[in-house]
Amino acid sequence: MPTLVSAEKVLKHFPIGGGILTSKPTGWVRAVDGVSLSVEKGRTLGLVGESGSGKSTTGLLLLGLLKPSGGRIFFEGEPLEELLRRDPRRFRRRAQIVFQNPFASLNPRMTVKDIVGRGMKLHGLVESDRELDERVAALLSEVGLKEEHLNRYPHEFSGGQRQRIAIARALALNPEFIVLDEPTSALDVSVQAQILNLLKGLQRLRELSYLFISHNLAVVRHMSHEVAVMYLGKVMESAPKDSLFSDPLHPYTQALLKSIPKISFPPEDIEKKVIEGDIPSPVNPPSGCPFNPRCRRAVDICRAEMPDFREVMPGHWVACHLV
Amino acid sequence: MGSLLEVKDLATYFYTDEGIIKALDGVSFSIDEGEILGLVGETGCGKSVTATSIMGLIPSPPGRIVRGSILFNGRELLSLSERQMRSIRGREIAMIFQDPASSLNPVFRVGFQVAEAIWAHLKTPIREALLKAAELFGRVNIPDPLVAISRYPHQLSGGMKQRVMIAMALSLNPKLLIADEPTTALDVSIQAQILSLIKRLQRDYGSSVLLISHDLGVISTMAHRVAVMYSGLIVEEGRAEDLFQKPLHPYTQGLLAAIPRVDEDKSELAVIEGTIPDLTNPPAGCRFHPRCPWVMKICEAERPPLKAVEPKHKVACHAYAG
Repeated sequence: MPTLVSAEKVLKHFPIGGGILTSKPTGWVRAVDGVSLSVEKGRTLGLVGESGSGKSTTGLLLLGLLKPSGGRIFFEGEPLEELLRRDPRRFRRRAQIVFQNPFASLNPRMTVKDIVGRGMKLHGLVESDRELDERVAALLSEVGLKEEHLNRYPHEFSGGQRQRIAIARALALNPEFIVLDEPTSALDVSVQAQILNLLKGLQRLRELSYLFISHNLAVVRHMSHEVAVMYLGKVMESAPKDSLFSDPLHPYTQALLKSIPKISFPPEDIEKKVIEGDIPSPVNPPSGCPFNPRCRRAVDICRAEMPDFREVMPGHWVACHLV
Repeated sequence: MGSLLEVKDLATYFYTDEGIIKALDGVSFSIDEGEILGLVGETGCGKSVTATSIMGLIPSPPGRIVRGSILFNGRELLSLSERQMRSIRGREIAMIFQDPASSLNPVFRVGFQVAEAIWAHLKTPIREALLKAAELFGRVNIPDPLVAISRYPHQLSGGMKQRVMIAMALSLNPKLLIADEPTTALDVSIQAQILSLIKRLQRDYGSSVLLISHDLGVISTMAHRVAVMYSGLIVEEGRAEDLFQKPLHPYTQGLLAAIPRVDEDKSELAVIEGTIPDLTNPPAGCRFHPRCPWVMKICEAERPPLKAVEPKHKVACHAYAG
């Protein structure tokens, strides 16, 4: 499978402090700290992790919406930096995003037509207002909305419908790559299923590549072909979906999968499945492997050295000294 | 074991400019002593209104409990004065909420907030109450309890704040703990810690728990018995194993088919068509009928009663009549 987007040891460190009088930052938040991953054409890379693990920052970096502090990002083999310098608008057409909260990501003062059609107008993809109407109506029907919704405002829609509008907006410029940042986390289960099915259908029809960001492992399992697990700015494990879920190698992935409450009989003993401790702060991450303070199997080397991210089986990468 | 809480035909309405929102419209259930009852449902189905109705915390106006009864330990809560209710709230029925950050006062030390609750009910001297708070912090696995009591909420992580809330809820050894989405704002690994803590404490203290959650996995792991709510009504109720293994109501079945599972692959998710009804103008008859795959003529006209069709397994659906 050819690669569409890839990241090589990408870093993003945000400064802390450094106000008007003191220009020197007092520390750094290491939001993304050496991430390597790749999204294949027409496929979905699921990016899972708990809050503060750097998932969303990674998404923004791959879209060129944040400038990496180090490392390299490639889009169809070309350095992203290069593409953005040469023709940033052209790149925008190729890569889009859908955000978590459709109540915040749609401008309440714009009609659906303006929200979905704005990109096409700005990029000069439509000649007349009539053509714009037609194109927006076609997009709306593609995401399961109706033409009569064209002139309505976001507040007239439910959460699921708003997310459909956000998806139509992302599709408007005919992109190849879409970052889906927790697209169903704000929705109810029955609505979530509708949106997930829609996203899968669109991927098949339009051969889209997705970076699917979520904290929900079940949703990621359902949506992804490959999965990468992040913890504190680092990718701990990445593998094809089946091998990640049936044979997780990293102690963090194993513990995370275990700690999800499941529907089962007899009920699981949740008390036996707990990962102890809190998620450390990315301002002051533990030395060595970031998971070592919570890892039951940690040994001396885990506290001293960050393990390499190695391919231990075909396509199955893991960063752990013990694997 | 007898029932600790018996809710019968409870109806709570909100009188707004847009009309009367019938948030609860005849809800009945009971919780036995030492039992965890899971209450599941989607946004706006009335889970939280059920909790606030029991606590006597429905904002009025616009809200009002228009009919029904809430028997707690043999006493009718709906006939108590605000003063009498205040002595029950916190002491006999305690509650923890979804967002621990907005449940704690940001300008007071967390130990003081717990101590204050103890003092308010028992008039324990504040020094002693603080020591009691530290002891409770230890019990909910907050590291260094004597240091932790003098922290401010912003100095604690989300998981630690929720532990403080649990310590506060347990400080007076309540008979009933209402936990409204207690782990929804937390990360998976922290969620498991908090759930296991609630379970352990429930066992140690013998309290009953009303656990409200939209997450069926959480309910399956925690609850002895489960009630499923839809649009202000309970549509199905039964023992956890019966309800999850053999769901009867088409809504429960749809819900179970619609969630992706972490432990199995589903190629396509089943979809419940349509959206949750508007509570100002709910559909006549069975409120689920516009979305129901089994809909019959009678469903559009008559509301099905919640009745047992199997031992200890109740459902409100005309398909099970006769």
